[in-house]
Amino acid sequence: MEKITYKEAFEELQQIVNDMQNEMVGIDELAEQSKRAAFLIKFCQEKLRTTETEINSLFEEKEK
Amino acid sequence: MFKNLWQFSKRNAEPQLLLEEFKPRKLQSLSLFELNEFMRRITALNFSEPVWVKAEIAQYNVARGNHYLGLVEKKEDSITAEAEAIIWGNRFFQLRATLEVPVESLLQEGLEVLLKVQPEFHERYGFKLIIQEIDTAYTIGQLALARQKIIKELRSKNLLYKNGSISLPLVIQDIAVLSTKTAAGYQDFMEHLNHNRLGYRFRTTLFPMAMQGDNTVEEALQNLKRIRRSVKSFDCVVIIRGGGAKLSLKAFDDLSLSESVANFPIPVIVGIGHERDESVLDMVAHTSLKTPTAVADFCIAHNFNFENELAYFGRQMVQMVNTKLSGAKLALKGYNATLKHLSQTIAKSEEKQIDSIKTQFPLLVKRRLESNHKDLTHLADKVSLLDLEHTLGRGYSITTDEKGKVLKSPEEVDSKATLITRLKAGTIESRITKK
Repeated sequence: MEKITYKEAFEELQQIVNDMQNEMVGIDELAEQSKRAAFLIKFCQEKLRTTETEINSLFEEKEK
Repeated sequence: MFKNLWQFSKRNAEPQLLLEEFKPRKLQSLSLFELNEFMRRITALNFSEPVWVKAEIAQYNVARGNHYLGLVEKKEDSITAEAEAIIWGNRFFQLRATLEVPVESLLQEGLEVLLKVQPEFHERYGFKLIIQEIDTAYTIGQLALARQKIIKELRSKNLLYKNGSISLPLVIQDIAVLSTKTAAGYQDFMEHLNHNRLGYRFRTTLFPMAMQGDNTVEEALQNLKRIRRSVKSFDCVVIIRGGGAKLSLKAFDDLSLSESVANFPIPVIVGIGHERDESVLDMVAHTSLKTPTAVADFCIAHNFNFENELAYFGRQMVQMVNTKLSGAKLALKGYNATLKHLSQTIAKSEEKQIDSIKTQFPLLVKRRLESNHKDLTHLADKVSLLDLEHTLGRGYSITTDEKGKVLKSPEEVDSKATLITRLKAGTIESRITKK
């Protein structure tokens, strides 16, 4: 799984929202993009509240 | 004797006059003590009251509760006058209580001071200036001047806003802290950070140093150097010091320290607990806050702001997805209705076609039959005609009366009637002779 910085997560989130606003996301991709956005937000929120070692467990969970 | 001693106050008084009492007897000498005692008295008499004197502090140290200053006067970097001064312990306490600024901030090496002194000559310790008062305004003025000079230099090198122009990272989590572990300020700072209500976690690395005294600047510079070597592992530097107007801020007006901070590659946030004017360090730092706890709160608020932006994105997403979905649903409904309508229309029009065919069908059939019938009749006629010719060819004849009615029995005609016989090749008219 990936290890992303706040900046990368934030920029990707911004991109998803922009794409949606510009009608560049089709109905089929809606589910996929929303899931990705939700993951990014949750990831940042968890990262804010953990130190480096703890965050690895978050990834392990996701991998399962 | 006293009359002569008064003359000493005049600059061009001849020293000899004063020694009238002590006219050296040819075979007698003075003891050192006697000489010094004489000096003491001269001094005491000429300075029945203290005088104000301007000087620069070259040295300053405290011993046995008393404060010792080495005062100098300089002309273009070379010393032209020098004297030792003392603030006796109890006098110092008085000053500390009455002065509106911390005494320590005024008594620093390199500073110019205006002091009210009582000159004294002690037989053993020689000439000393006993300090009675310090003119704070003068020194503050000098300090302010010195600070202005430093600020001017920083400004000319475009360093005043350099650190401030670095953007803070989205999230502050890795902090390099310059402070003293035992200081209250540091502990308050850590307390606030580690027990914030939002649950944010931080990774702080302490670079311990004295936050007051002569070594502050040097230790700060060393620490900043060390941080620079691993600057990528930190989001920002925090310089904090517990409050207390009593503590000297001199280190934080230092030019080299301010330059180092101004040129630092990551944001430097300071909270050095000053009560009065900001120091030069406050001006060059990225962010200057009043206290260490304010610095902690700043970091927490910064991260909270980030989280809010995330939440905003989240809300936008939900909104957009919902809009799109309901839009799609609506479109589907529309298509459904249209389809229904279309199929109904098609069905109706087909029905109509069928109906019209239905109604027209019998007529068509009838007409068809009729025309067929006509054809058939024609054909039948033709056939029957052909048949007749063939029969006549075989020798048979057709007998009709005068009217042309074909006779099939003798009863059908009168005995007087004329008969017409049709043969294949012509007709014969004949009369009946016998029936």
